[in-house]
Amino acid sequence: MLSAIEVICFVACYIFVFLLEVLRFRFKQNSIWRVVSLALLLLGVFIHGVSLYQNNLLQNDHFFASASGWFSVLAFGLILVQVYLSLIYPKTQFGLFLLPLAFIVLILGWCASDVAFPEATTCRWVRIFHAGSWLLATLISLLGTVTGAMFFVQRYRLKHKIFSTKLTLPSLEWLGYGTRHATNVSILFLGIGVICGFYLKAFASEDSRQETTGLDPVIIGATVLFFTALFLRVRRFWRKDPDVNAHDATLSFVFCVALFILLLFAAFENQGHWRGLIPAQAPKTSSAAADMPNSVTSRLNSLTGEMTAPTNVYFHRNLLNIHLWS
Amino acid sequence: MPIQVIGLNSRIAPIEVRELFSFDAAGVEDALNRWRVQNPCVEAVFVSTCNRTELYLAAEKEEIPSSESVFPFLVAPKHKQDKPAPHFEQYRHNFQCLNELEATTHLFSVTSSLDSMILGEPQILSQMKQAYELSVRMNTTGPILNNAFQTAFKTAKRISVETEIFKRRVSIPSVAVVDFALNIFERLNDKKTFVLGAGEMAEETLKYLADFGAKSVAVANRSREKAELLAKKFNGSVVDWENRFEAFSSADLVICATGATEPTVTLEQVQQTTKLQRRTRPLFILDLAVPRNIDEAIGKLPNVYLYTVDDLEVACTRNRELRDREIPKALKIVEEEAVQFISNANARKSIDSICQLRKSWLKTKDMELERLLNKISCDQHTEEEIRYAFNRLVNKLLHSPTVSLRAAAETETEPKLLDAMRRLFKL
Repeated sequence: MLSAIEVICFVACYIFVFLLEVLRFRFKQNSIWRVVSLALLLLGVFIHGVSLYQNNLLQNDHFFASASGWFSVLAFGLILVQVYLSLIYPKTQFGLFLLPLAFIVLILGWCASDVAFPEATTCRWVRIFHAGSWLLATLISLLGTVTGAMFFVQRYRLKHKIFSTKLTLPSLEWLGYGTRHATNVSILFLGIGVICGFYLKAFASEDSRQETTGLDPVIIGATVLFFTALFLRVRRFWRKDPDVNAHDATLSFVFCVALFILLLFAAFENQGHWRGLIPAQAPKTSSAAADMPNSVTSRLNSLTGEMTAPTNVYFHRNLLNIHLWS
Repeated sequence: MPIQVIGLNSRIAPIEVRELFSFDAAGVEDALNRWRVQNPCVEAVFVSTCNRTELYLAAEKEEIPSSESVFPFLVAPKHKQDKPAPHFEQYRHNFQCLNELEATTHLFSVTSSLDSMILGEPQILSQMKQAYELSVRMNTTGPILNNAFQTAFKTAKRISVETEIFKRRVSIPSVAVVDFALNIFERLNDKKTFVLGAGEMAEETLKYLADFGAKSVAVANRSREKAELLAKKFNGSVVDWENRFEAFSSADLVICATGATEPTVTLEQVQQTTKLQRRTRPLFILDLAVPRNIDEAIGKLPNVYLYTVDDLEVACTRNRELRDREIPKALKIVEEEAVQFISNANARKSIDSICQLRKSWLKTKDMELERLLNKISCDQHTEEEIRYAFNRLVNKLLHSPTVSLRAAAETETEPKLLDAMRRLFKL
């Protein structure tokens, strides 16, 4: 789990930046405003980066070492995109759409288990590719959702001739192009993620020590999602639809939501989607879980019954997280 | 600091009067030439636009000539040829003569387009720059007007950065292009523009589009000659009036400004010949004609954005209101800059007087010191100490008056203290 102080620091920075974006509806933005906003964003990025480094790289060897870390890296990616867009398009209010998504991802990261994924000596790079492609697929689909939402707002404004100077958005053409390409690229990365997942699953099944779990809903869901999205994308080429950009924006949103459902299932699922892919061994327990008071542990043990000790601790941690955030 | 403006503008003089005092470029050059010969020590910048004829004057040492003697320079040469020269008394009420702070504020307001008929119109800044450059070329400017005009340009830039006055567009073609077309298309250089009609409005809109990079232009008009003329201006092609529906459907941007009383493009006509409903690219239609030339039903199709004059007029009105709201902020900037300019000029003038005062005191000190040193005999060290003490005494005595004079020069628009000092010490 990220240190609470660090999380508060960088989230506070992002919240201030978001508030500044909201206040642009009321006040005119000047160069000082932009500099303050960018400085806060960069400060948040710095603290966020340091905390990621400390919590993931140093403790667990790589950034995708836990579900919580994975979500935190995803939020970090979104913020980096926000920094880039603030520099390239300083007058456009991307933050208004992008930052709320970053907050949602951070909350998910906070709620998700920070129990380290079990150590695996084999297929390390395939595992990293798998997690990395999912990360990029999710990140880019989130960006597609942002541009899609902006597209709908801009289209509504232009179609209904609403002349507003308060909200600055990119052109409809740019937004349509951005949404379309973001969806295409995220489908591509999802495909890579699924292929890597299949490879890992096949490898794990061949391992004599592995107790195979049969049909994994995450893998099945991801495969169905990939082929459905691919079909809808290809269909676009032969079926000319006049409102094609709106359909792209809708597809981008639906794709992103489906991707998140799969991710949440993987992150909060009891047995852990990744656990079926790893040779059976005791998972790493986080220091927080290990330091849980005996009374809490015994109470949770009584609730979970006959589970083995390491699984119990892992499950307690998740349960505790869900209880804390529900 | 003597700076003066004498002239007339659209607020105080009707067009019949302005015509009498309107100059072309050659006329301005002639007037400046005459001015340089008759008043070599008085700086002058001549501004003549359709809304104003003004002469900005400044002199450091000499008196600026009276309004009456300046008046003949403001009479247009063409008028002199036709009729007897007008008398100043006859047009006195149409002229304004402003001095010092008022003149400076006026110059800054004019340059910043706060005194224009259309607030925030950008042409006046370039006209003022041209007028100034001409005067520089004719050698009729000097340190005061150089400084004044440079500050005026700086003020206009500051207003354009700090307020929304120059940012909001108020003409229908500019609003159509900047506020709407550029919200639909990322760039215009790869878009096809189709113009129905070849009137002024269409041409004006095409000019704005060309400014933003529009290249591919096709024109259709009932009179092919007019269409060819317009197409030639923008390196475009001509489309036969009968083939307008195909051109309409394949374009990205349509400007419609014909004088037709019935819609020239209806949904049925377009659908008969093309597949407008199946297009996937956005289509931006500007119907600038009254009565409207484009069937309203076309605007309801997906991916089609149809704007009429009324829609654009709403945006223009809103922009005008937003500009008006910025006036107090802009006027405050003008006032700040004008006061600062006058203070700086006075401060510069006070430096001359302070130098003169200091020189005279130092001269007296040197004389007295020499007299003293001749009377007493002392060693080298003692002589140095005496000289040092005298210098310190003079510096200390001059310190307070110097500080007071500088402060007064910066804060007072009329340098009363400076005048008093000059009289007191006979400088």
